[in-house]
Amino acid sequence: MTSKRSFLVSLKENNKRRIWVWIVSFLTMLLTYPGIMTMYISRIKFWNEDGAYVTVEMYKRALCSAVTDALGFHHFITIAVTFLAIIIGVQEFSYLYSRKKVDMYHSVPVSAKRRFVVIYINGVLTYVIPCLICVALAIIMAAAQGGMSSMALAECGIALFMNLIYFMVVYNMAILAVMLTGNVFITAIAIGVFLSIGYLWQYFFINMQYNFFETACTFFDNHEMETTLSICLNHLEANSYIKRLDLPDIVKIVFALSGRWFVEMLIIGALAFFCYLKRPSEAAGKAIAYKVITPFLKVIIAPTVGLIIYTLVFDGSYSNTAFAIFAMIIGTILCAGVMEIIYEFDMRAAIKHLVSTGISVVVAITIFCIFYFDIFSYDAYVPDEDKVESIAISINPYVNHYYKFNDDVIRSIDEGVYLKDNMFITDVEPVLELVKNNQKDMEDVVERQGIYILYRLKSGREVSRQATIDLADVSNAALLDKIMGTKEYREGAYQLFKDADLLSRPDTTITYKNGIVESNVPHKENEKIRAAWLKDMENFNFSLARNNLPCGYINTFYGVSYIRVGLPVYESFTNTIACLEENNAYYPLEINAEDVLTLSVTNYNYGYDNEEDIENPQPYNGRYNSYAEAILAQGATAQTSYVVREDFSDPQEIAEIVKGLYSTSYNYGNGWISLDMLDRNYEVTISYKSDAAAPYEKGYVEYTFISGKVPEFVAERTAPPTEE
Amino acid sequence: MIEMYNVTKTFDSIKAVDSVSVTIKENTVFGLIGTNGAGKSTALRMITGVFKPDEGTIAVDNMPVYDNAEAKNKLFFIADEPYFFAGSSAETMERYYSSIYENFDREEFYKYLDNFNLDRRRKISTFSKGMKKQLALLLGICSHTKYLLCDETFDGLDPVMRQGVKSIFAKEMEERGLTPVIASHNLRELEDICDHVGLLHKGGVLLSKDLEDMKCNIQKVQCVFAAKEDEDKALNGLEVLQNDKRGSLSTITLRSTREEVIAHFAVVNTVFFEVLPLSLEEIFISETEVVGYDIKKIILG
Repeated sequence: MTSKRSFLVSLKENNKRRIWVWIVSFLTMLLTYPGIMTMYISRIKFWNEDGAYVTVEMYKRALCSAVTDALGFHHFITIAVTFLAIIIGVQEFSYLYSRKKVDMYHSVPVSAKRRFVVIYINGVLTYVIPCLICVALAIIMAAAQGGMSSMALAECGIALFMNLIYFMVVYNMAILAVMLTGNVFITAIAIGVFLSIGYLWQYFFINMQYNFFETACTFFDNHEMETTLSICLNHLEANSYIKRLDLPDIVKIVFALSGRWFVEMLIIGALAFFCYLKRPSEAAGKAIAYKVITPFLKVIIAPTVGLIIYTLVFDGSYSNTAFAIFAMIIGTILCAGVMEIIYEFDMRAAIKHLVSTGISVVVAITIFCIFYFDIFSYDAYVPDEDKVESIAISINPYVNHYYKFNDDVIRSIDEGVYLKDNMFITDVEPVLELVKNNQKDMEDVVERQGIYILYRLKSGREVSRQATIDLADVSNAALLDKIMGTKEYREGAYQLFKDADLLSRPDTTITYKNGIVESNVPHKENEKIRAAWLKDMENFNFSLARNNLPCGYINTFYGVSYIRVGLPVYESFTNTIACLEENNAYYPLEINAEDVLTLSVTNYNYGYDNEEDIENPQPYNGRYNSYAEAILAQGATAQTSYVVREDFSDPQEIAEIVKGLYSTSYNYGNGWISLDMLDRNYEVTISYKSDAAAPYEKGYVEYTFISGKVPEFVAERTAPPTEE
Repeated sequence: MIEMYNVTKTFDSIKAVDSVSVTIKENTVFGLIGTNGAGKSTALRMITGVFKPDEGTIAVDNMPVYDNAEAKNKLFFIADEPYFFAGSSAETMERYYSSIYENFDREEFYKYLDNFNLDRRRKISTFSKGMKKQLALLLGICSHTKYLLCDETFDGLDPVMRQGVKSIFAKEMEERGLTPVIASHNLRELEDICDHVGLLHKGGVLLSKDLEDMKCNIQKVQCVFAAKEDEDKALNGLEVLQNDKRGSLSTITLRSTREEVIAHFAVVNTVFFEVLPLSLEEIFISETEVVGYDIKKIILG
């Protein structure tokens, strides 16, 4: 804060009055880096003494991992950096709160620019120097204890870089808050608003979209890194997310995040600098430094609070729109009143400036109406074909698993995230046609399915929507065939097309299942199976999936992980079936009746239910049916008075029954297949003999009848009881 | 020279300074008088570049002052409540100011400190209010700026100290052309220090004049006229500012030189006649009453 001497002398002079901030910064960093790391290392040592690590190598790896955790992406570091950025930012410019200090600093011959730069750089150094010293100390301590590795060093370096950018953003935010306010209490509120308003808007928009737009879609968002508008939460999310990535992915994520934060840093920093130059000295001690912005702040913050209240009340009252609107208006008015009180430190000010309060209410109602009446035709959006670069689409009716390896550790990836990165359908016309075809009321459509679409526009924008399609519509089928028949779709939707790594890993096992038997495929055949399946999939499309039942599926497991990749196999998949047969792993979809010990058929008799029966089950002919009896015996509500269960043990009857059975234990394909292909009234369970020849699946396996293959005696004996 | 031209400053909806135009000449002691809230402090803060005027211009030696380090290098501002760093001593403050002001005279500062019996290492927070004002004045004087602007700095200083400061001012004015600008709400505080006085009231300037000019051009006459015609004759042709009558004794304040008044009354038949000296207070009362203000309420309370 001087003009006479060099910049360094100015910094030195400035620092003399900020010793306590340096001390706080050093202590915080000491606790954050060497402190936390020592705790982590102590834990590992304790467990080692307890014999948790069998080999020295394991112990060393655990030490290195602990050091990486402590010095890398750690929530405590984020919290500490946030704390310091706010403390330093506010303290450095806190003289602006005091008229006495302003009189002195602003009357001495130092230009505002120079004063800002000196204070600003001093603040950055107050963070950077203690941070670097403490990190260096932690690294030396870790190395001395054998816990340092190149990975730990790399992760620590990357995290340091990211934290520095993060610090700068929050630091600039704190400075901007000081510039806009006149006392520390209001500054604290302003910082709170800065850190949370983005999240609140995001929360509000997502909720409103899902409440009022049928096509709202966050399917393609990375849900592990979604609070993009709140830097603090974004950093905490990143810590958790990054921990599960390998180094190249960490670098990618960190640079993407840091790049965005860097832009934020520049914008907020420039704004803070501009506000500093323009800040009237007389603002010291006032609530808001620039009176001119007070109505604007009110019109931004009060409707935000009102709309958040709307969202909370709407959810809390189970969609009571009228009550939620009332709460929104009251919330907006109250918030506006509180802001006036804060502006003037006077309770009576609550009823002042009613025009801006009125505008706040109008803004809140307008934003609400935009969603409620879909004023911008959000749900009708379908981009023009010539504006779309490519499309990713999820029309998978069953749960599939997408994965990524981090060394030997496999982790699952959200389907939307995978498709976004891997599916680029350039023949967009069928997709757009499909969406347009189905922009109608789907209330009465029985066979419908939700799909998710990501439009990548030529402008660089990405827009995602969901839609519901009528599976029974023939024109839809033709369009889906076109879409699913493309190489781009297959390669995007089925990870095995792009990844040969999974099956080549020694810990990967393949089994073939058809709901009846489960057989293993030798590991050496993995790649061959993959090649055969990929070839068969070239002819795969919607019509095939809809009109044919899978005859089985290939299941891929990696190690002991729960991640399973299931690949449907149809009878037309001759290459796959041949490959399985070569390895004695293929079994046709047939049950050998001789292997069945007992068989039980439950007929739900759908269509007989009515509300009266559900609420007050009555016995028929003086008795309940057997299933209802069982239910009543357990004390449960008997909603199943028409449900009839019968056991069959006669070998002839069993032989008849098993001819028409199909396993429903796995849902592969069930979302696509025509409703009339299976008779869903029935549920069949089978107990196999212990000496059965085939490798029948263990555990609980359910079957149902293929339509038209229910034996008459089964239909008769499981028909609903009738009154005599 | 400091020139304020048509300067206005508004806080919220209150005009603290309203279209003020004042010129502060070099090498004079300028007194800025006014009640609390008259706009003195605001005017000083605008002159020193702390506040930015809403309207009008302020120039220090022909340089705009707001956010202009070069112009500010000619100014030192002592606020009504001067700020000293927490836990600081006179030495600490000297180090700070000597790093800011090019011509800060450390040797002189410590010499003055000793003369004023201020301990250089004692914490300023333990100083009395008067001692703090002395220290602020010494820091300002030793910064060797051309203009020293003091806001209520002299209020409460004991006569010995006032005399001490006065003599330093005189010395500095003579040696390097120091121009002190002193704001006060109390005219009596400034009477023996200022050469030129500006009177602020409700944000505007009521008057700005040299004290000597004012003293020479306003006279107070006490007299008893022999007859009513003599009174009419006496007052005819003179600029009468005030005329109080108690019985037959008239007390008349006139705008004129002493010699002119004596010559004028010499030809009038008076029973008793005397030209009395006016205090600064009386001069102000007369001058401001002319423009419709009751100065007693304004600056004398």
